[in-house]
Amino acid sequence: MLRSTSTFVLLLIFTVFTQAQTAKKHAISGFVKDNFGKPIAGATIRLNDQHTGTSSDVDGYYKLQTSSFNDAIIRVTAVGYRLEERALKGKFNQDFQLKEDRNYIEEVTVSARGKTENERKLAEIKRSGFNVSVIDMNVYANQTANINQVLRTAPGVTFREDGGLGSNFVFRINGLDAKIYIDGVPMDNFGSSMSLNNIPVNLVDRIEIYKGVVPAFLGSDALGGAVNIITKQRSRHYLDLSYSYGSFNTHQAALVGMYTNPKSKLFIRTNAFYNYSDNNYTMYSEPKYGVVYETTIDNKFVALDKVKRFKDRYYSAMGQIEVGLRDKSWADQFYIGLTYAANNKQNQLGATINDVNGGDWKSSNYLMPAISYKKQNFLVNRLFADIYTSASYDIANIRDTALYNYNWSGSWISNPGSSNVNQQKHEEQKTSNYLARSNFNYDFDEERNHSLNLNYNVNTNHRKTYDKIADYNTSGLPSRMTRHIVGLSWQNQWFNKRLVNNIAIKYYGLNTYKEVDEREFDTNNQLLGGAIVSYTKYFNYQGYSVASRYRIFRDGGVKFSAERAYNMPTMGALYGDGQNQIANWDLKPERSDNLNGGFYYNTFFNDNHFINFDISGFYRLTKDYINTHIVTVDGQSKFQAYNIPGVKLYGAETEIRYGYKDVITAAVNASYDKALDNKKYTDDTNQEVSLTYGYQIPNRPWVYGNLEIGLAQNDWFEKGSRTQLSWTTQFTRWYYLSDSHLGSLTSKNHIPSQNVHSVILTYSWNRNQYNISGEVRNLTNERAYDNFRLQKPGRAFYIKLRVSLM
Amino acid sequence: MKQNRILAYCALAVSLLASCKDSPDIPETTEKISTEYSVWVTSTTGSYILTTDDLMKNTLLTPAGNKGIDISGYLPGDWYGVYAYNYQGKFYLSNDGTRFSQLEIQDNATMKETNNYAFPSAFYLGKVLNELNSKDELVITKTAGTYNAAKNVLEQPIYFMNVNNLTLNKTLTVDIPFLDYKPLTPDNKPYIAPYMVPTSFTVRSGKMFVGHKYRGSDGTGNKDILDSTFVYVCDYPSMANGKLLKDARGGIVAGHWEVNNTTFLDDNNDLYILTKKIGPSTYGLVRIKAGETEIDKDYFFDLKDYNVFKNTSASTIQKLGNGKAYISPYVVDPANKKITADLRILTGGAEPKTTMNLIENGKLYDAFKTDASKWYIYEYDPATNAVKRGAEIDGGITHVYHINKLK
Repeated sequence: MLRSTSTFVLLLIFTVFTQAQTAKKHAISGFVKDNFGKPIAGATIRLNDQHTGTSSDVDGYYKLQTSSFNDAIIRVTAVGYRLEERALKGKFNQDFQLKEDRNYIEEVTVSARGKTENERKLAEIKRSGFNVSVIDMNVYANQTANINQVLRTAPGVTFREDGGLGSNFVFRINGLDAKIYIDGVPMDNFGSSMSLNNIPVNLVDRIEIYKGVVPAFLGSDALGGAVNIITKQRSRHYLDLSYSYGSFNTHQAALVGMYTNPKSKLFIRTNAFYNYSDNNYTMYSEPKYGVVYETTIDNKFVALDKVKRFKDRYYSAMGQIEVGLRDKSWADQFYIGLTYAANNKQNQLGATINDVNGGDWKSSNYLMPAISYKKQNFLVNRLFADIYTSASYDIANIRDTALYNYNWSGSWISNPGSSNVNQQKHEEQKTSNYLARSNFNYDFDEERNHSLNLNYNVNTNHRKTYDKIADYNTSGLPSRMTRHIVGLSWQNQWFNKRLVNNIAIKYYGLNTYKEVDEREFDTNNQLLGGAIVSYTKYFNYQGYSVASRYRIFRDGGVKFSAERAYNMPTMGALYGDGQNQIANWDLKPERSDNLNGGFYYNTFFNDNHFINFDISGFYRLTKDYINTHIVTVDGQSKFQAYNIPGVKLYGAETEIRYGYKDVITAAVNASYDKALDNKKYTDDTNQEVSLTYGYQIPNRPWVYGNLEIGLAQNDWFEKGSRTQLSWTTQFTRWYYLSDSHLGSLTSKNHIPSQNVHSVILTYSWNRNQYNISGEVRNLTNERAYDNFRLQKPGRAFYIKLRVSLM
Repeated sequence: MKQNRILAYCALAVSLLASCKDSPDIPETTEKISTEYSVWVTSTTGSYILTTDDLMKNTLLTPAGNKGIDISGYLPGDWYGVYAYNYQGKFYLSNDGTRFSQLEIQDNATMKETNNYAFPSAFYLGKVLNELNSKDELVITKTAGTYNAAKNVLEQPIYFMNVNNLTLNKTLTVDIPFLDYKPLTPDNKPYIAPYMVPTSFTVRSGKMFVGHKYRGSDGTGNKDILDSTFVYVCDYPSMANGKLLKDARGGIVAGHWEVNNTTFLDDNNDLYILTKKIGPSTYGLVRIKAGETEIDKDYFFDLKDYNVFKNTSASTIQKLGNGKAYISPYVVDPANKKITADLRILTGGAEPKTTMNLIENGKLYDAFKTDASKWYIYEYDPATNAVKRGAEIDGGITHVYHINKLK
């Protein structure tokens, strides 16, 4: 698989280079951007004396084939921007920077014609009533980062990790467990191969963060928010290669390649990444934060000033290839894809720093064939169909066959159990996953004043776990989960598109099943009693939502949404992951009644300055809120999901962005996010008032914010170069580990406030084709924790090389 | 120029963020708390020690409003309170498998580890040998000894811990013999991996008495088996001349790994051992008279008609004097096989809820929960056979593990 991928990559590089050389002889190409350096998609580029023309793509990139150009004048027009034209004067590379047309009052009408699906979706998102923010990941393409590092800078988003690269994480939006999608496909479907903590930024075009009501087309049990990761899709030749190296022996490589045959419209797309890190960073004892690493000397526990993580290596690799056709009469896009991934993660720590594992690791191999079909005007005019199906197979080995654990000085120690050695463990989990997703959108008119969207999503997970040490032949009992989500939404526009509403209903069905071996055998393997017992549960619910946006100004308005939504437990939460998360079969789906409101305003000064302002608030009443706590099993600390009967959440967030031309960007956001225990009584007779009623749920960040500054200089050293300096600061205010009002403040543990600063210096030349960047992450070596005592990496240095060929 | 201004604003923002405190504001002069008495409670979300200068004071003991001490950070789980013991005002805890901690309540409302001992292998605090304790020495066992297959014994260590520096003065080991036959289920099938749980240690007049029980699985999980009282008797401190006593009348020796006592010596130095029938879970008392090393065949106090430990796990048995003992919720006169008081009646129907109750100046202090879901500490005076209601405990708590005197 890897060999064939490598061969394909070499072929792609050759093709793209060849095309690039050819382009210099026969084509004019360049970028169309706005005054602030943002690509303008859909701009029309024409030569005035010819009938040839083209339009720019999502990168603002265009290529115009021509035979004669010396005397030609090139004209660039885009809706909402002033016309620009210039004489070619024999230059093949022509970049344009268009100024916004302030006299253009009408909101951009989005027509499906002539737009890529990405563009259409993006425009839809912008005008919708959903509270959504879009992160342009191309801005971060030169960072040595996975998408989690970018995502966590968004307002209202918390991303809590317990270590370095590839570590376990909990992701939430406005305090609720948010669902993640890749190109509209639930990330659960990708097993451990693709996750927020291992997808490099280079593979991703943009990230859509929905807060509150989630569009029905995403077709899942998202509650309170969702993230849709849109991978890079181009209808032209494209190649993006990157490699970075940094502290803790961290290597990260990514490849995105696309090839489309202009005649046959056959396209091939490949994505691949490789991550490796020893994660051997230093952690420091900080008694004021309750963090003390210890070793034993002469039967006494003695504190160590600092320790290094060891046996915490992580690597993951993924290769994906899609082959298909586009722009055919029967399909706008059809492809068959195959994804292969492998990863291996050592697990030095569980949920705490108490147990230092020596030989605990999990490896997995994952294979997923997939078919995708998309068609505008499917069967009838204005009916859009998006059908996707995949089957995946994941084989994971979870093992800890080391006889001993370690202390923090690196010496092995005997197990506290009666035998003094660890019980050896080796489980094999075979998981198969089937997903079918169909989405149909019908526009009643060209203006899309009324649209209906029907989405059906069925997803089945089937897992068998084999105990490869104890009794291979009698284990392997299945656990299964099938999820059905049906959503029907009506989008409507009123008052010349000033008011946009989306009203939706949803059906959720969850079927869970497991078999448990409750047989007991004597030492001669003779059955004493018990049986293999089946357990099954079925949940079904109906949800509904409304999302509205009213445009008050040309580019400013209010948004409101309300919903009743459900969040179904995941496979890991119900059945455990065999390693750090233990099962909770009694976990119930989470229900939430949500209200969201917001105001946005974008404005410009003198064409050269822009300011974006967003503020929003939310209020949620949640039943059976799914939270995570630490439990001790056989002396080992593990995570477990559990329900809190009632939780009230409310909060607000705001973000201000400023830009000056394409040389200065600055953004600051702040989030406030409260979750209160809303279950008053602990007994059935309503006599016992809970000690935590009305108080904040502990151990969760509730005030946080981010600051981002970018300074750039174009054409330093050479024309077409760009030098950029970026500074980011992530702030999280301290929070208590346990209930803040119970027990004296002096006796309480807390996770401290943190300011994590990072600096990135990037130099790009040859119009962004070649890039080199240096990055210092956690510049001040801040003690950073997302979870109590589980320190994250300190100061780290990275260098990244990137080649991007259009 | 513009760039400089932007940079200046951003630098200001960063400095403002950096100037934020990294920890919560805690008043420098914390209100001093009493360190006379403590009540160890748990809620659904944590464990707390609440202190008071008088258990009988009309006050509300609650962790709410930042009262008391949050000790959740010391415990892997709330129920680990059963592995804690208070001796001379300090708590002794074993909660991660090897660490034995000495902890002291500070008047700034914290619990501080004043010393620790790192056992080289598994250690969870089991029983305390009260008769051997001295001012400078705490004598303890661990929950589970080591099975020696060659000798077919459970090698159960007894540690003599110097409480001044938390070092081991010495360790003795008692070898408790396993049965020389395989116990069978009612269906005449062998139990799976039967094991022994020592449930009581008593040293009296140069003899050690180790009450123990067996557990095993019949295919549906581990449970108590062999419904007989087993007591191993040997010389102390030589641990020689051991013999196994067995009595089928009362069932197993009550109790489990945890630290609470289910045996007691009366004023005559007679040893009483609480027993429990496995099936009906009814209790009884057997006796080993002073100077004897055999179970008294003429004595059995059957408590089957009394709801001993009905609504709580076994709590510690307290000797009340004048021949009486407290076996929650009853005051018993074991020598005369009489129940002399039912504290549930005296308290007006409240149920006892404490694992480790307290005796001070001959009076018993235990926590009871009323029908109206209110918790109170009651004082029982054996001299007057009367109770007095003391401090209220917040109704939001779920269990009281300990009532202790700290000074």
